[in-house]
Amino acid sequence: FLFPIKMTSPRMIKLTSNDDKTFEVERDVIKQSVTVNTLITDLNMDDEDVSVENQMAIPLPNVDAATLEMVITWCKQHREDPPRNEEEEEKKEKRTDDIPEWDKTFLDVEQSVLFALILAANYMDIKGLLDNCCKTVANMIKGKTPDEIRKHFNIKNDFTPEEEEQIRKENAWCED
Amino acid sequence: ISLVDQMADSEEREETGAAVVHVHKTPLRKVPTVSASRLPYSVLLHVFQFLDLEDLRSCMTTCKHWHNVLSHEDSLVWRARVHLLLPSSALSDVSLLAETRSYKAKLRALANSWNPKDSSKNNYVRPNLFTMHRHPVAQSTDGIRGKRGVSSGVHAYEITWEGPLGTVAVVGVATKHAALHCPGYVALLGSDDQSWGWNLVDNSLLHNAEHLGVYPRVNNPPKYQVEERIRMIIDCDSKCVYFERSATAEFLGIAFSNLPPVKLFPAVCAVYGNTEVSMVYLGPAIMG
Repeated sequence: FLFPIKMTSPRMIKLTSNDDKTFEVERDVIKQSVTVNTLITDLNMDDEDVSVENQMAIPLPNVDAATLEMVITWCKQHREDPPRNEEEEEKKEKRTDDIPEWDKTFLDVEQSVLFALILAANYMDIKGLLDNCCKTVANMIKGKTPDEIRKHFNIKNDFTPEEEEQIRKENAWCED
Repeated sequence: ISLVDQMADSEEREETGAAVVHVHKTPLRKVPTVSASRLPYSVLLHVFQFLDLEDLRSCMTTCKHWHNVLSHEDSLVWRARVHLLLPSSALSDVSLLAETRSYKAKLRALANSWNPKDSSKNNYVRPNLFTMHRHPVAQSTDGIRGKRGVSSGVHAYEITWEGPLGTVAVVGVATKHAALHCPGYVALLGSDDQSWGWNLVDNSLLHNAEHLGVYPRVNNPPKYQVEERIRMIIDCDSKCVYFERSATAEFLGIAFSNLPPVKLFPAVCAVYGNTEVSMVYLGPAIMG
């Protein structure tokens, strides 16, 4: 018997950003987004034998094209990462000195870009990307005084001096 | 947003990047730029879980939004610190931290627990970090202070004498100058002008080597029962110290008044071999 041989190129998924740009990305790459992966599974898109041209694009109304492009770049870089065990991650000590070199360079961007990426990772539920983005922000906060933090992130101090002093006092025990 | 839309729409749009396959001719919806003070709750929690207590304190005073995010005392931020800093022997003990319910309260209790570096060398703090243990040493009185002294506000501590009392077992407060060790079996806490003590064995109050009367302030006060929980309240605003029986919340009367405006530390002194005393800080108390 002869089995029909299918020419299998990697299965592609279409994603549309909120500014209506459509990206094609390998199914195996985008599975790192729990949100997209769930959608694909729920819509039985894996079962259907439709060519990519006829396939419905998945809209991502909270992500713009520039950010989505970065997200896809990150997912391609991390496609070989072992699957995360969230239960194990929970138990691990929360450290920020373990961001891979590639990610450090990749995330060395303007704050607005980094924050857009965080929101996208949060919305698309890409835990590894969200983790490394948040560690990057945490590293910016570490060791800074409240004044230095405000300056770094351009945050307005909306406390009265009395309120600020009150909170500082209530939490004096946090210092070593 | 509409103004931004129009501006964005009037711009020449570029189609760059090989991955872009199709562009619809609909108005661009620009996402407003996000600032750190506007990041959503869940994202900030995710960031904050990587910070230590000192950094978290700075974040709390950065702006109101960040403060609000950190004011939930059972969030994953405080949980992450608890799992890092509190030993499982303390967390698995059903009664020890029963009164400090939130994760943040447990951390606050730890920051105010016995100070192993401010103790007679004959005592050590058990791995649970909340219980002091006195070695069996002959002819020695051994005290210990808490890690943090208080000079403002009202503060409640739950103290449980878990081993035998022996002939002298004193709980109370001390300045940082009070002695924590002396030879013999004596009521060291209360023996000078730097400390105030309630000897649980004979129900007497002591300060500067003077007996200030019996305590609790009733006729024939009942003896302290080992493992009974008592609350010590240091009221810096009224400059007094008093105790309550935890189980019944019974007020036992003012023990010491006219305390000096200096930092006062919770303290005990013990004489019995292998006796143990646990202390858990319950927080800046709101008295009911």
